[in-house]
Amino acid sequence: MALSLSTIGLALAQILFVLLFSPLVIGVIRKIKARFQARLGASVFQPYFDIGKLLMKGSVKSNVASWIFELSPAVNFAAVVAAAAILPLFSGEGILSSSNLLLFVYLFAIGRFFMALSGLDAASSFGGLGGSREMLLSAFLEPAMMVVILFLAVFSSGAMDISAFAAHTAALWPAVLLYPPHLLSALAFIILLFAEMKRMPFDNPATHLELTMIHEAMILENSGPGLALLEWGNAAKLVVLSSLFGIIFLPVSLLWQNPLLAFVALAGISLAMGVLIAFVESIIVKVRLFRVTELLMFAFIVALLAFFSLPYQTGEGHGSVVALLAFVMLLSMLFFMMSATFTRRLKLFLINSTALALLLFLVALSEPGVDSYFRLGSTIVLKLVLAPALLYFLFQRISKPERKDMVEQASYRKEEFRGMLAYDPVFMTHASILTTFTIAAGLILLSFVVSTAFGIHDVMVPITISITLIGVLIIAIKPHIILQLFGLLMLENGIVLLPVSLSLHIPLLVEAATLLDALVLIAVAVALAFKTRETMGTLDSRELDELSER
Amino acid sequence: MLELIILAPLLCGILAYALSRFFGIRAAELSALLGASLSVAFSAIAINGLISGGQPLTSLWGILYMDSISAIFTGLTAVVSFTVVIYSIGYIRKEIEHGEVQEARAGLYYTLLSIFLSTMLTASLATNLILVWAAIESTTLACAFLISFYNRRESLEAAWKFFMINSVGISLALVGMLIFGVSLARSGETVNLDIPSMLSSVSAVDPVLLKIAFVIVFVGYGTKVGIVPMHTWLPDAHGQAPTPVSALLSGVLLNIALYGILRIYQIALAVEGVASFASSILVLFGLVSLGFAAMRLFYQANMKRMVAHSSIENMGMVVLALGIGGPLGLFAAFLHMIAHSLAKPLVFMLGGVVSLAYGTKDTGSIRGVAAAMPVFGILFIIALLGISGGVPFAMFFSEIMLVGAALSAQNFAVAALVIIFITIAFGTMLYKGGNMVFGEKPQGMAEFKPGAAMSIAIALLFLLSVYLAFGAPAQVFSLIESSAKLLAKGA
Repeated sequence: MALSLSTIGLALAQILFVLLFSPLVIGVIRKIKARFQARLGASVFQPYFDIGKLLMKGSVKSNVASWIFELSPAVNFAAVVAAAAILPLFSGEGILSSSNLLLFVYLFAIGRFFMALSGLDAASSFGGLGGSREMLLSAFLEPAMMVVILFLAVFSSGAMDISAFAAHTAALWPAVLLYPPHLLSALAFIILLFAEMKRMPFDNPATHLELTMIHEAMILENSGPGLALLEWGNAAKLVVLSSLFGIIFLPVSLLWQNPLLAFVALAGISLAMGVLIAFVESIIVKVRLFRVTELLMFAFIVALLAFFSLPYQTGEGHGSVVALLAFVMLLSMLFFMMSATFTRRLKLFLINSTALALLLFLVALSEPGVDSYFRLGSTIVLKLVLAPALLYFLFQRISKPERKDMVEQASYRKEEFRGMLAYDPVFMTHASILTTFTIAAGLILLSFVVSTAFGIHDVMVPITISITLIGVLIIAIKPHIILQLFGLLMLENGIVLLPVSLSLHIPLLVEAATLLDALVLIAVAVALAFKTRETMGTLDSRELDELSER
Repeated sequence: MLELIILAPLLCGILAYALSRFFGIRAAELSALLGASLSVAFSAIAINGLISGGQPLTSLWGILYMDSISAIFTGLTAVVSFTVVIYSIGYIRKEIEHGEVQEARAGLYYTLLSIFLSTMLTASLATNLILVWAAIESTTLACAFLISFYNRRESLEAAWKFFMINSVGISLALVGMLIFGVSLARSGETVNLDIPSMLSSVSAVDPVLLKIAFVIVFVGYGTKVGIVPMHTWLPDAHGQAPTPVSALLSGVLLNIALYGILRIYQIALAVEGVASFASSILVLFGLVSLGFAAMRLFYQANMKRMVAHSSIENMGMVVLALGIGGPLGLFAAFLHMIAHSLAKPLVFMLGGVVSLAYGTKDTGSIRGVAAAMPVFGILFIIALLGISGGVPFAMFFSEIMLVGAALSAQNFAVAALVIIFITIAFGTMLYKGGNMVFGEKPQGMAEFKPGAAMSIAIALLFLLSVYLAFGAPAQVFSLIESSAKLLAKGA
């Protein structure tokens, strides 16, 4: 595409939009967070004043810092501006003939590279810390982003061109809103956006605590115009990424005939993203630095799931909601492995079972019959009422110190966790979360490979097999009987799902028999657990080691 | 008719609990004994009807079904359980005497035992494979509590291990069953996993799906059979359960789990392309189990754990024989299974008497059983050698048949390995058994009288084992032959 006057004008308009609008988004985030904290907060326009003030100030530089330190803010800023210029934001035609998504990833990578260098360059210990942390993060972030891009490329069956992604999403609108892989990759993208923006839970932009800071550590030495460029560039990055989200995952490209409407839509999406960030930051806490990688690994698995399920059929309307609920079940199990308190695990189990119940409800709607109703009813009674109640009851009956271990992980630092296959007191697992997630990713891959090898086309089958296998994984890594029972029950949920995924019609008698078995399972487990507690005073299965042959 | 086989022990078991509350432990014993003997009687009538009629029996609107394969499993379960109940009467009384078990809980023991028996009989008699699955899973209910009956730390650990590993295994088995169902019916149709109709719809089977289903079912049920990589629960459970329960686990439960595999294997053998695949899986895992258990046998200090490893070894041999196939191999498999089911409880019972007399289960500290209790000592060494292929039991013959089948299938490597492993196992048993049975008895050992009930059970099983080897009625062999034929119909 030739460089015409109109495309240059559009590019300029995009740069202006990104640069002029972005401080407002930051202002909105800060305002909302202030309100959450019961403060009045500064005006939403405060970031403009801050940037203006900083630009007018002089700057101070360490006497050991080299040209890299001075150049880095500009490089960072330029990378974001370049990204803003070549993105097809307001119209399908950018100033480049093709706007490759990889280009954006690497534009940001250049900025990141210079930031890490400049952190080192100032020779302050914090800068080096921040730089190394940033690189650690990007080692996990970039592969995940790559999988998202691969997904998009295969999904739109084109090159890595953003316009093609946008056109594909627009063409499938609004059915794509219920297409599970699309939603999964959008979820992964949002998690990665939080990581890229160094927002909570990855990094806290509002603090300078040396133990945790990543982004703030790198820019600690910058001042005056350099700092202004960094802050501004960072704000602009948020708008660029939000807009990218808007055109790739939402149908903004439908509005490309009228650039003004597209502008309004993108501004709205950026603001919405800001509001989301503000809400998330207000209700959750930053995780420990070592746990950040685990969250990124989670995003990686989510992206992987989306990519794997592309060749499969997910059904339409009804069917895609069913598939979506199955994905929710799987994700709740992944979260289960990452969660550290009993209450949260119980909630995740309830989410798992609720998703199953909803799924069975939908199936019962489309295929009415006694067996469908029976399956739905028994799932609600057993998995949503009886099992959680009994497990909660069991939890209430175990000893106080043991309960404390399950509730307040922070107090449990006696054994420091080392290595891949050692006991982790925080999450109560035998393997680190990263190891576990790697195994989980392998199991998911396995179930997809097996399904493909045997010519299965419905995405429900590999998902159900994954649910079952990950249930086994949970039983294997958890050292406490209550947690193993959670794993067993979620595995059972997968098995209840299996006839649905295979679209099997099972006689009622068989249905009743499996129900009986679930009952037997729960009854035996709970009764045995009470016996164990009476005899041993604990349900920690690490205590059950008398019979191991050494 | 068939439902009575199941109902008799179930009702009598429940009755046992109620009776023990009012009339004490004697009433519970009688009730459990009544249930077990009724199920023996009813299954004898049913099997007789099957042999004379020549047609499979169905009952209870087609929910229950008996062909010659299920007849073998049902009859074996009923007979072995009957002797175990007799033995329990003596054993539990001794345990009450020693203060290991409170008298109030003894009634519960008989109830659990009877329910266990009834669930196993259901598994061998159900028409629908999912019902078979459900029955096998519900054996867990009674079994977990029987294993942890002593309420000790170790027994609870064994029960948890049993429960967790087998629940996962059995869940996998259901996954396999459902995939198997898909391989039979195209999507949308109602899956029919009834054994007779399944056999008739073999032609429509999707071979690829059947292969997956077979592997998953094998891993799932194989867990309960004690096939080697999934066997870890087995020595613990056998070692910690009360002795009669160990006898029942080894003699019956493992078979019942094998029955689940057998029914799918039956279909697999009838489908071209799957048959050799399924057989080679059985050969591989059978050989691994046999070899692993034979090697580990020597390192077991606990007598019951040692015998449990011998169970893994013997089940491995059954699986191996099924895999080698052919008329000789299948015949060997069934014969070995029956012989093992009779002999293994016998070893556990004798071991129980010995450990009650010596107050320990440590193979290193038991000495001179023959000097202390001549009759039981001699029987003990005969039985120990018998379960590793010694002469007076039928396993001697079935092992020769197994090697013969391997040779006639041109499978020389397997035959050689089997001979090596059997020799290792036999040598270990001879060494360890000899150390226990012969030599001086410890100084000042108290006289031990096992009592009538235990003696009767032991005599009964010993006579049955020898009878099977040297004078079994033609009906038994015709049942085995027709089972082998049923199994190999397609092959």
